[in-house]
Amino acid sequence: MGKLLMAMGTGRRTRVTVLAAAAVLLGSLALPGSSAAEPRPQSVRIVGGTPALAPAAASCNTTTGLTPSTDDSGANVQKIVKRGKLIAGIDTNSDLWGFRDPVTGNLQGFDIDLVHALAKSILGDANAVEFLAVPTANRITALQSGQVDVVVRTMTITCDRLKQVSFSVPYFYAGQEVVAPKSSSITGLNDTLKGRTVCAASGSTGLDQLNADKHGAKVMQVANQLDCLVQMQLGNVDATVTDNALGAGQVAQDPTIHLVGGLLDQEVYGVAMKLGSTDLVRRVNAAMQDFLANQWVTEYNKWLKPLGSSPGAPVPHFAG
Amino acid sequence: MGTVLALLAVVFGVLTVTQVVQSADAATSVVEHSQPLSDDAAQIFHSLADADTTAATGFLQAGDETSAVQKQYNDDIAMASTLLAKAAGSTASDDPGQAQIRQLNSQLPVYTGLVETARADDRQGLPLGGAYLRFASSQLQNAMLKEAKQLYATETDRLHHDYADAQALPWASIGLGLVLLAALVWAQVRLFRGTNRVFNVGLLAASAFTAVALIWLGTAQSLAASDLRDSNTRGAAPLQILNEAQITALQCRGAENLNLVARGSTTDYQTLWAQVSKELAGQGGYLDQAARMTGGDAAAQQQVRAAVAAFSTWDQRHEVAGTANNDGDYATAVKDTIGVPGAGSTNTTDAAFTSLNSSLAAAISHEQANFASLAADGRNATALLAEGAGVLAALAAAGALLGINRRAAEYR
Repeated sequence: MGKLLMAMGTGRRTRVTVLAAAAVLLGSLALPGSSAAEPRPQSVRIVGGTPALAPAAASCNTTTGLTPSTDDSGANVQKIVKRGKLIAGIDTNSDLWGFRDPVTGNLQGFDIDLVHALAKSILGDANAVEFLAVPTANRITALQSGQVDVVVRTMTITCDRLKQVSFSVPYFYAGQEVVAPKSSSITGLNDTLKGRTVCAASGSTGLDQLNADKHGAKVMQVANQLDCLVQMQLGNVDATVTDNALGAGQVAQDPTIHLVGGLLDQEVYGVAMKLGSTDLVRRVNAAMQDFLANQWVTEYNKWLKPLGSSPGAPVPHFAG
Repeated sequence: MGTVLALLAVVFGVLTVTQVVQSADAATSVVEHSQPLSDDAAQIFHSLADADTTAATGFLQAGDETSAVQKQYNDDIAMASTLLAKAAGSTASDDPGQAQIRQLNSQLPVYTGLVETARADDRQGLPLGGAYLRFASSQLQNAMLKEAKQLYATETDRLHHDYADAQALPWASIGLGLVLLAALVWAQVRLFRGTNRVFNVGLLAASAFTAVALIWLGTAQSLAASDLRDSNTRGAAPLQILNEAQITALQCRGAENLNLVARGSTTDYQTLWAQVSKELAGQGGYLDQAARMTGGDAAAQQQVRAAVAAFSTWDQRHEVAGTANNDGDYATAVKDTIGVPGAGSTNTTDAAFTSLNSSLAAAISHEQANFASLAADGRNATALLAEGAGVLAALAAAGALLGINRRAAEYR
């Protein structure tokens, strides 16, 4: 049993590595001839013919970003520069990604460090940041209303969202995964769930996947994935389907549970910005390029160890 | 005929004593049983809601949780469990309130367990702590407070029922007394016609005793009923509204704290604040009702006005803190709400809440005193009435017997 799980764990990592390799390949294919030749599009553009990396059903490209530029003259970048502060929409309840130290009350996590890196690159001061806690449901409206400049909040780049906001290049590859107690016989989203109760956050991809095939399980819906861990610890549910990145946050808080069964799908996280704010997207991509190359592995090792050893930073690919 | 009149007088006496004792029992029940039980039920609700609010305050103070906050939480839980035990002991086993008491008794340790887990997780720096506290709070708000409210409603219903019993005038004995009096007069008229004697001392005395008994019964019971009515309108009824106001204020405070604990992961608590603050201070809300009910009582009115003013301050500060939170300035929002642990917190929403709460508490103890003194007046009004009415009725019976038998003897 233990051996099997280990094998699965390894399998997951192997897959991530393979995907990363594919990304390298794709990046090297996509980069040449992507810039000067044609006029720059107004937003992240759908690049045709991208192989393998995007989810099978996707009708758009979620993994390619606008060509980076450190030009600060655009209106959206200027707004931030003049203000002297980057306003970032974040989560304050996600262990590892964005949360408050209960003693100091300071925000910390992978996403928080990424915001600091963006502020350092754009404004020259890592602390020139105003954090705004944005509930999941308000992420897009907060950008549309101009309440925040960027949303850095484990936000998955999807085709639907690309119609409402613009994204940076991906900074993390994630996927839905099953979290269950180590002592449980549950091995993934399969028949071992029969007759059990499985938890997922309302409106989450995990819930959709669970509802698509329940494998005979009962489903409990809660407001936040962390509420699933509460219910799991209280014995009210037997397993949780959530993002592996958030699932790792759960594992970090409870050593008696683990991620099982491998990734159920492939998702990419990006920094979200107002739709069409091309200058800002390019500027953030420039900062991101630097972050991925020089800081990402350190940050991964600092925060994301519960996910397993580092698969290496995602290789960015740009177009347009 | 003498025997019939005497029998009527005895029946009158027995009926009067029974009815007077019954309504005195009901009055005793109001003062010693149902009113305190209703108050206790309100206090159980209050302790639970306060525990919830205090737990959230302690959570927001994070590593700096003050011992005062910890003590308040512990006191709240101790108070709730003591009063639950008391309520369980002082209600009959078939009492409808027992179901709620049983449920609350079994849920209280579960709730405190969840709060302890939240604290332990939080101390280790786990965001899970906040999720536990929100779950604990939802259990309290959605199950326990509903049951406590139900218990309060049950006990308050009983109070109203006892009030009605205590205030009811003993119409049966008054009616029978009037019949007796009429019969005595009729007997005397008949005797006068038969014997041409104007006065029959026995019957006259019997009539007088009956009349005195009737007048005493009527006045004392009316007085008692009026005092009890006053103890309700000027004591128990405003007390009930003030209790509701205090509980609702706590729910507002809880929503405010939990909104900060939730740290932007849900907007539920903002909605809850909007709803409960309207119940408290909106048009026709509890403060509005309390102001109306205490209209004739300057001391109580003053406290209610102070409470209304405190709420308006609170509401303004709540807005300021809310704006800070929405602008991402979490630290300022927390500081505006609970202040800096250990340091004085004068301009916080918590200070405004505390001021509101103490005004309400002062009004509550004023109304409790009103209730106690008026209810005591009511009970005193019927003091010795049962005994007196019994003796008077017995004397009337004796008078009737003597009077008629004397006449009869003269004709032997």
